[in-house]
Amino acid sequence: MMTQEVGPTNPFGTLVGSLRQHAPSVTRLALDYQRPHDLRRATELLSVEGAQALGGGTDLLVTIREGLARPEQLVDLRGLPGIDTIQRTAGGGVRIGAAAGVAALAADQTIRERFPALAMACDSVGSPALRNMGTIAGSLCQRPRCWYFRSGIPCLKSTGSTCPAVDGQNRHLAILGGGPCHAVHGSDPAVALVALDATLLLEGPQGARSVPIAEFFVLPDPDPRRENVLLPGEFITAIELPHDSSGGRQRYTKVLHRGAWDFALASIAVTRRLDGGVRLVLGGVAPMPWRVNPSVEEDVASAPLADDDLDALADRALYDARPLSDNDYKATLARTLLRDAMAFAAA
Amino acid sequence: MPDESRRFITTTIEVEGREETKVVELPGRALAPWEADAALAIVGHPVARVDALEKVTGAAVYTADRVAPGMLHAVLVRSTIPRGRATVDLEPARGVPGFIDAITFNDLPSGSKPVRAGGVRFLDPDVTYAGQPVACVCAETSGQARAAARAVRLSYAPLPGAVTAAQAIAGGAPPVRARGGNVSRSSPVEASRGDVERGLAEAEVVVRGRYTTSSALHTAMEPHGALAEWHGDQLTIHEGTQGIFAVRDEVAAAMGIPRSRVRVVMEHMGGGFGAKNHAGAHTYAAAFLARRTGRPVRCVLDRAGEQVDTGHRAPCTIDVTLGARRDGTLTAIVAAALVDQGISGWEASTTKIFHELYACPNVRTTEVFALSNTHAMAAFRGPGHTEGAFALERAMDELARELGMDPLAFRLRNHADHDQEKSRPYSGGPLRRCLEEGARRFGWEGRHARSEAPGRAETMPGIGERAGTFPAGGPPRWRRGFGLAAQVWPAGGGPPAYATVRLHPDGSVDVLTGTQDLGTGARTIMAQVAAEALGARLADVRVILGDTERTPYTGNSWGSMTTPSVAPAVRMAAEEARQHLLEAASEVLGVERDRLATGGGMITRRDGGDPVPIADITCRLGDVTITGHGSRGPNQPGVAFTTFGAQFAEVEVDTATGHVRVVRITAVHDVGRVLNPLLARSQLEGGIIQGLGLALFEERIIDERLGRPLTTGIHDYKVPTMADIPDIDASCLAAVDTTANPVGARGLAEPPIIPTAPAIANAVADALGVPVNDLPLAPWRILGAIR
Ligand SMILES: Cc1cc2nc3c(=O)[nH]c(=O)nc-3n(C[C@H](O)[C@H](O)[C@H](O)COP(=O)(O)OP(=O)(O)OC[C@H]3O[C@@H](n4cnc5c(N)ncnc54)[C@H](O)[C@@H]3O)c2cc1C
Ligand code: SF4
Repeated sequence: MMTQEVGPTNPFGTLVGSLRQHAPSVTRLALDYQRPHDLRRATELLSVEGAQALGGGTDLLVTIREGLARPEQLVDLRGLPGIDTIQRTAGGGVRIGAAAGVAALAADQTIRERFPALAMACDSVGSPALRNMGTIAGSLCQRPRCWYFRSGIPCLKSTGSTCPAVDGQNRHLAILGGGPCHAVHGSDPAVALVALDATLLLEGPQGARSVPIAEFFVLPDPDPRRENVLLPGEFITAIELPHDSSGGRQRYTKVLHRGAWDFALASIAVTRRLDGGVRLVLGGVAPMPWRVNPSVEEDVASAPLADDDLDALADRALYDARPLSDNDYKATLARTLLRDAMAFAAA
Repeated sequence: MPDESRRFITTTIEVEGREETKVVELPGRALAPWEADAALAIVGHPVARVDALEKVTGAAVYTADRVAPGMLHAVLVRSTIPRGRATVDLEPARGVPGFIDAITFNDLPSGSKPVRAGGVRFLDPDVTYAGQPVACVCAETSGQARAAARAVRLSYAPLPGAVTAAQAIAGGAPPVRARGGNVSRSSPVEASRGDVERGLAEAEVVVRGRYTTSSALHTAMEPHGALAEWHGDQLTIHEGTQGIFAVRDEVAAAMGIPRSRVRVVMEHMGGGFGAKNHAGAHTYAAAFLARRTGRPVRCVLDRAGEQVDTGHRAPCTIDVTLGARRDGTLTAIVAAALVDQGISGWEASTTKIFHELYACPNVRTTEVFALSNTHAMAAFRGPGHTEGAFALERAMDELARELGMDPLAFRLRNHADHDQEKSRPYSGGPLRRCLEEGARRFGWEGRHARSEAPGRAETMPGIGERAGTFPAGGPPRWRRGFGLAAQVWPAGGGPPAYATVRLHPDGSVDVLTGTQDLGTGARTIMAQVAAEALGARLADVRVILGDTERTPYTGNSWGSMTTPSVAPAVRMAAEEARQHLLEAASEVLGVERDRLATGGGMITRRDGGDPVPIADITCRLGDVTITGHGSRGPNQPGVAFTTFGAQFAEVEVDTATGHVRVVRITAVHDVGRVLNPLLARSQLEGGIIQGLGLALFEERIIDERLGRPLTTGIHDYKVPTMADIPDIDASCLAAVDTTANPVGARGLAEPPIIPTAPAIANAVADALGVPVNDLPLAPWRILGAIR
């Protein structure tokens, strides 16, 4: 092994040294593709090590090509019966198949009328092509868009042992809930689903279970490689929206750099529920959809708000924000979004 | 006029703002220019692209579409460190299924001059930027080649380096390369006229500012690629390139074979913007591997390769001081620029425009071209002028504001009616006409009255909901602003450029010329010019270009040169063919030569006889072929062949989110004769959209400690989307430049990008009441500026 020469003026610091080895030892080419037509078979196929669920492939195929994901077998869930349907449930809620398209959700009459925050969030995803190919479960399980991770720089999400972004180009990283990884979660629909108290129905080698969406996503501490609680072989079969979350006043607002085809610099889902409750969930600012402190939601729900109140509540909602060197603009955006959303909910 | 008795003369040609001296051959005879009142049936008309159908149906074949029997796929292996020595272990790649061959620096022919690509030695293990190719593997399929490339094991002995100009010129900075300093040999480049100290002393108002522009990446839709095939000792290369002859010459030298043994073909191309002027690592890799394996090899960059290793617009920092008298007369212009070339490059002056754009007796500029451990710069549409225009035009607005003058009136007050830098007349223009016509079309005068009140909330397609207005009583959130900026750019074209026109017995026509159509529509323009000059129908003319073996030489398609260089040669070739045709027709019809003319595919007669289709004559001639040759003559000395343009922008800025929306842009340019208004408008719109990208979005991001680029895909490197494109009212002045050349057109490719970013930035500054001097004007910058 050659030695590294680090002079006093080396602008690359010691990181270069730790990244010297770049080369995976195994190279796999064979990638098996399966499209099961019943749930049992899907569960079987996915319980094999190296198997991974495939939705529209808009994220997975890209990460495979970039060498960030290395599955041996893709299990395309889109062949399962009812996997893409959107139907009302007996209790007055809605059940969304895991492979329902993002575009289909944005266009669905029931979703638009009863859960407009979700329709708006789906409508704001990427571009028409992505919305047409992408599935809702794939959206929830997409990997973070951190540009270090995505350009193959070793980090906590891949093969590295440090986060090169936090002291580097951290403009797009989290201001809330970060550490040791600070990448934000990219899904717009996820933000709306948290505000709508969705429940995820999972299937896996250990059987079926349901997980409230707020418990589905996990922060990077302690395990920065995971973004959710899915166990090996486990996958999402459906998403349920409860009747209680329907109607009322709902909105999803997203700030992007360009006019379209961008992840959120910051976003917010807000609902004023028929039971009077308020939900405020921020996107683009944390490693997972970030529901603000429930006490803030309660205060928004309980009182008419003056301009000063909006400021004070926004401050409270962002109390834990810890901007890095280049991303405090996200706090400004979050504040703007919160103020707007709170005024909307209180109106 | 050139001395007619001489066959060869020495002349000066301006390319991308650089001057080249060349010995050129005078054409056999000079053509009289098409005057402004010439009745032209095809030239100047909005003819649709001749290859439009091919393109929209997907039939057009690009390099990446080409498949040769037995073809292998090659993938470059790139360094992940910016500076140091890479050790390449190919062994793991050899085990990958489908692997065929791989090369490193050691496999290249020794003894000969090292092959250079992208400003560095091809496959040099002593790397000087992250992303630099150190090996190339080829395999049966592209997937296998990618897997093999990934399997190559690299280890490094890193060296200290510098990845920004600031790091490179800091005291005690490590050298960025083995030989030569961290700045270009000629740095600092100084230029001045008059006495700026006196000018500043005379000034009653002085403004100073620092302006920065980002490293923009060309991001052509089509990535770089080459397909190389050997037939014996004959090498054919298909490559989407701006210069087939440049690629031919460079590849011939690298392979150690005569130029006559290399054929470079370029049929269709998905954009170049300056990044495709030379053979690249992909070209050499394909050529070497094809020779080693005896099979055709195609090497097409992936998007990441495209974004990290094909050149960039050199980011720069420009300090500007402007002085003026109270009445608005400029007395001094001072600029000092620091340009970050990357590891190599030519000196695209960002300060030249300070000498050109406005009348001012005292100008001094200093420019340092720093080298850094990032990929080499490459010409990028309006290189230098675009960056310089941003700084100068922003500073002009700041000065106008200090003076309390309208920005348009201030510019008109300092209008340059001739080339200030070289004290010579312009062949066309001047700028004033663009400023005045642009202001009229835009409604500059009544702009504040006419505009809708800011603060309207709206939902845009594809975006859940745009953040609305503050609740009533809150501060006004959306602000509206207006700005303008101007442009000059040398675009006269020049020799050498050759063309041949030949008529087939059935009356169909070939035009052969070795230029390239980058997607600009050159093929269409040349067909129009040939049809017009010959009197043929457009539908009968086929233009064959982009083939070093079939077509006579013309130079690279750069520097807005193609139309003004090649169209005159094509016209001359067609005129010569027409003379021959008329002589033949005279013989066939038994009518005197000067009683015959051509038009619309017919031989028309002034002897009372019926017109005869051209095909009837050529048919009678049979295999006696009518051929015409043409070449581009030298430019008239002592004249500046400058293009002019002015652009006006209206923007809305959301002060709560920092989002800038460009509402509309009016552009008026003067390029002499517009040969095809449809294509001209496309060029203008394309330039404006690219300029808007520079203004708002585009920025290569590098981690300064790792030296690695992070904007490796077109999602992180942001070009404008349809949703970002404003209403664009783009037009060219009705003009004909009979001084420039016999078709009367100057170049139009680069000019439209030059004033867009400063016009938008000036509008944003107008909206916010604070300067915005750093590109791109991203939300975080805007929020920072108004904090
Ligand atoms: C350029 C670009 C821009 C984008 N912009 C946005 C944006 O603005 N907003 C936004 O929200 N998203 C955006 N996305 C992300 C996009 O929405 C997601 O890629 C898409 O929704 C994922 O769905 P898919 O079906 O294609 O997932 P896939 O690519 O098929 O899968 C993604 C992940 O989900 C897993 N997965 C799929 N289905 C299941 C399941 N049923 N159970 C468990 N795991 C599963 C896969 O194994 C994989 O890990 C963008 C993506 C790209 C490439
Ligand atoms: S923020 Fe997370 S994904 Fe990004 S580099 Fe750090 S650890 Fe990796």
